[in-house]
Amino acid sequence: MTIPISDEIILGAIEKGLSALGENPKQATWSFLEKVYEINKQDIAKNLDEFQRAMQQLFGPGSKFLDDLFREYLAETTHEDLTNYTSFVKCVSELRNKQTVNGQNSNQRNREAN
Amino acid sequence: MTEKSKILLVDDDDVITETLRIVLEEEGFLVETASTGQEAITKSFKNYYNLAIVDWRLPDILGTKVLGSFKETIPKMEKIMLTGYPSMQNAVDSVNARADAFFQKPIDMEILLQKIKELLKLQEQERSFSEEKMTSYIETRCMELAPKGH
Repeated sequence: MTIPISDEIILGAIEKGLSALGENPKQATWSFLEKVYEINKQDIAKNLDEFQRAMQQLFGPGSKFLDDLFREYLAETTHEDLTNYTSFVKCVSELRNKQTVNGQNSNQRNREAN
Repeated sequence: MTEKSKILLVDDDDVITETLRIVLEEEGFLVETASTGQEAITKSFKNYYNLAIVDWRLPDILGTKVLGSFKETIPKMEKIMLTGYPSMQNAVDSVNARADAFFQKPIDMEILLQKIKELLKLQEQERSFSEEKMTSYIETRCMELAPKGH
């Protein structure tokens, strides 16, 4: 069953992906985001485009490897097949859209039933 | 080491793999086995292993070929080659295939365990060093790019 996407799930996927670098580099990355991009860890899910830019600026082509990990962990948690998407940001955006459409359809069904 | 190291045993001789598995699990390692070279390569695509112990002669391909593939799938993995047919040529081929150690059957478990621990310690040191370098790189980028006052 598909798990609805939330800020916690997004942050969890990023946290797990960054863990591949090791604990200290992960902490240094959070610090980089705060100091250079003024993004707090808790607000990353609301600033994903900025987060992606930060990762590209920090890691260059290596950011692709991390992006793939974020996607992999997101797919694992949400039980969605995300292999066809080209970036983590696109995955999140698509999952959010899907959730909105499903929510609207369910509201409509409720209205019709009433 | 904070996490248990994962070891892949590649040998078609069940007696050897089971004996090694028991000994290694008693030492606290997580152990998986493969009885053919292809199975080992497939597993290395899907999972991470800290170390592999590979028999020279496998039913489908030579152990050196398997080591060559591991270079692509898990470059940092430590690799030990086992052989029941020791020869200078086998040893040279193993070194050329980037084996980190070469053991002849019957295996002296104590020496093998000592070598495994030594290789894993080196791997851990290398990992810590890479992490330090990575942290230092990120901190430098941070200083370069952060607006003044941070």
